[in-house]
Formats: sequence, structure tokens, C-alpha cells
Amino acid sequence: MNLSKTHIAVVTLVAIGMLLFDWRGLTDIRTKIAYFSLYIPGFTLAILLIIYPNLPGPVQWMRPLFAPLAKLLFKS
Amino acid sequence: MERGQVSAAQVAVLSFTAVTATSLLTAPTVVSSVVKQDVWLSPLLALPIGFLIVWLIVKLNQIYPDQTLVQYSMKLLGRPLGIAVNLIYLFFIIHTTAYVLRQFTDFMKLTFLFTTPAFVVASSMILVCALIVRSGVEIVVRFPMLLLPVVLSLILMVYMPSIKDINLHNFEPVLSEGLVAPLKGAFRLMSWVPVFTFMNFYLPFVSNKRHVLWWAFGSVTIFTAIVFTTFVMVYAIIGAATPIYVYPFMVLARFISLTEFFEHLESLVMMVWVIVIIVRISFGLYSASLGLAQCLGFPSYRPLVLPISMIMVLLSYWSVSNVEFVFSPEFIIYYLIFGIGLPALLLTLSTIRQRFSKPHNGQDEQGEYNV
Repeated sequence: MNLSKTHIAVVTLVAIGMLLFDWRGLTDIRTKIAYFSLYIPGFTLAILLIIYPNLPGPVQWMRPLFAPLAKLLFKS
Repeated sequence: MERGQVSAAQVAVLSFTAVTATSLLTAPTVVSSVVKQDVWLSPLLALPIGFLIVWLIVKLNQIYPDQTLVQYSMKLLGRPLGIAVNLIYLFFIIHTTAYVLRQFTDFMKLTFLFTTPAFVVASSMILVCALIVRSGVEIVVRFPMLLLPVVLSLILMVYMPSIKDINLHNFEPVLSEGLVAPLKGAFRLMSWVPVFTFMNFYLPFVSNKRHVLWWAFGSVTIFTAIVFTTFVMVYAIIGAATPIYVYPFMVLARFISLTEFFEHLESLVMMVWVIVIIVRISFGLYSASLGLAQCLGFPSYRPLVLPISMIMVLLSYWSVSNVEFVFSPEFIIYYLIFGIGLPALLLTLSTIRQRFSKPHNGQDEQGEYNV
């Protein structure tokens, strides 16, 4: 528990540092919207992954998607 | 949106260094687990596919000289569908680059930095790549050119002392199981070759366009030559035990003991690996951020670099216990769909459009593209 608290603190520090580094480049309102629509889900995901490390991800969704095609290719 | 002048040769060096990156260490295991002693044949069988991919990309670039795949797919597929396809394509780039990052952190944790947290290794790597990418296309493209002599000489320093241990009898019997096994091995190699499609993000900046196709073919040929040499060296020395090791190239370097003076050459392997992985990740990161900025119509791609690299670090850990699945058939089909399928579809569409468009309409488009 203590370890994950440290991890959350480090990730938050890194995220704040990123925001400070990029802040002057964000002049355009559209760029700002796009930046935050990448930044906020990313940050949330980082915190979620620290708390629940076994969260199902894109790989688990991708496997069943391509499995029929792979089977077809390897049978013939 | 971005102005830069690079040469065709520099793009060729960038792309083959980037594609060679992860294949140097892990490809011998992945391929030889299916092919056994005919492992040397697989890269040669994969060569035509590489030529095809590169030909598609260069052909599309000749039709739309100042545009990347993201821009002309919006033009060819229509705006809403184009944006949807582009976002999936960009996710593909980010996703595959994330797994390269994961392979790098795994390698570092398994062989050198045993107690460092993986997050630190991954983030410091991505920070270097993000700084390179933010400096612009010229830095990204010229960086591998600068370090190519270092990489080549270090690789030769591993190969040269091992020549005396080569045992060519390891390759016998040749083709004992027919061509099916080497073809399967060539299919396994398809988790590297489709990365050549990322070239389309660099081709609009090339100043000497006349030679692009030959340089691109040369790039694929050099990649094949390096992989072929690695397979031959590794299999001729380690033999049938190759599939057992995770990093056979590393074993090769540890094996070397020349006059009891040149030993522990694995640190050289790490140097090569770090340099080449930086090239590979910046190759993907630049493509993803430029593509996203062009897809959404932004004036600059620079603000998007750091959020995308953050997402890359996360994707490399999200529900992934190890990266072996990258070489599974399902994942290779995912590579092939975006590596060959999408460019082939776009080229077909643009040929159809040229064939059936009215002459005056065609002139209009010509004027539009020659910006």
C-alpha cells in the first residue's frame, strides 16, 4: 500500500512536469482540447494501472478479433 | 505544416535501422523455433514482401508528393471515414511502438538493470525519444545516419571474433521438410517488415525524389542482409539450441573469448540495442504525432509528442505480462492489415480515381497536389 502511494506521487509529479514543459506551446484552443483529451485519459489510466495492475487491456480485445483469420490461414 | 529537407539516403538508413532494431536480438529465437536448420531461408523469402510494401508506399508518394498517408487517405476515403481509419492506423503505430518499448525494458531488466523499476527505464527511454522528436524531422532522420558507423562497427566487433566458431554442418539437412517451414518462418518475420510503412511520414520531406524508389529497395535489401547474417551466425554457432534462448545474439556475445583479452562483449550488444531502439521509437513516435496533428488539422505536432509518449509507456504495461504474444499469428495479421492492406487499398482507390475522373477534373487535382 505504501509502495503504491509512492508510485502515485511520482506519476503525479511527472505529469505536472509534463504539463509545465508543454504549457507555453499550447496557444491554439483546438490544440489545447486535443492535448487534454490525450493527457487526462492517460493520467487516469496511469493511476488506475497502479491501483489495479491486472486491468484487461487492448491485447485481450484484439486476440478474439483476429483469431478466426489466423486459424483460417494456418489450416490451409 | 513542417518544412525540412532530408535526402532519400537518410530516410533509407533511418528505416532499415529502425526495422532491424528489435529483430537483431529476438528474431533468431522466434524464427528458428518454427524453421529449425533452414532458418537462413526465411529472410530471403520475406524480401519480396518488403519490396512490395516499400513499392506501395513510394508509388503513393509519387501520386501525392507532399502528403503523408494520413492526408491522402482522408482525400481518398472521404473525410469522416478517412478520419476513422486514420485514428485506427495511428493507434496501430502507437501500439506497436509501445511493444518495442516493452521489449527494451524487459531486456534491460533481464540482463543488466535487475533492481531498477521498469517504469524508470521506460520513461527515461521515452524522454530521450520525445526530445529527439520535438526537435523536428531533420533530427529524427539524421540521427541514425550519425550513429550508423558506431552501430555497424559494434555489430562487427561481435561477429568477427565468432567467425572461428562457425560450424556450417548445423545447417544440414537442407530443406528436409520442404518449403513450408521456411515460409512459416517468413510469416513470423512479418512482425518486423510492415514497419517499413512508417516511411510514408518521412517521404514528403525528401528533396531528391527521383532516387527514392531505389534507396527504399536498398533499405529493404540491407535489412534482409543484416537479418540473414545474424541468422547464419547465430544458428551456425549455437545450433539447434537457438530456440531455447530468449536473446541468442546476447549468448553469442557472451560466448566470445578472444585471446582471453576480449571478453564480456555483451555490454557492446547493450550499446547497439539502446541506440537502435532509440531510432525505432523516435521513428514511430514522430510518425504518430505528425499523423495525429495532420489528421486533426493542427498547425504543429510538437504539443502532442509528450502525451503520446505517456500513452506509449502505459500501453506497454497495460495487461501485458510478457511480449511473446507479439509473434503470435493473430498479432502478425494485425501488422499485415495495416502494413500491406491499407496502402494496397489506398493505391487501388487512387488508381480507380485517376482512371475514371474527367480530364479537366484531373488537371484541377494536379494543381491542388503540387503545393
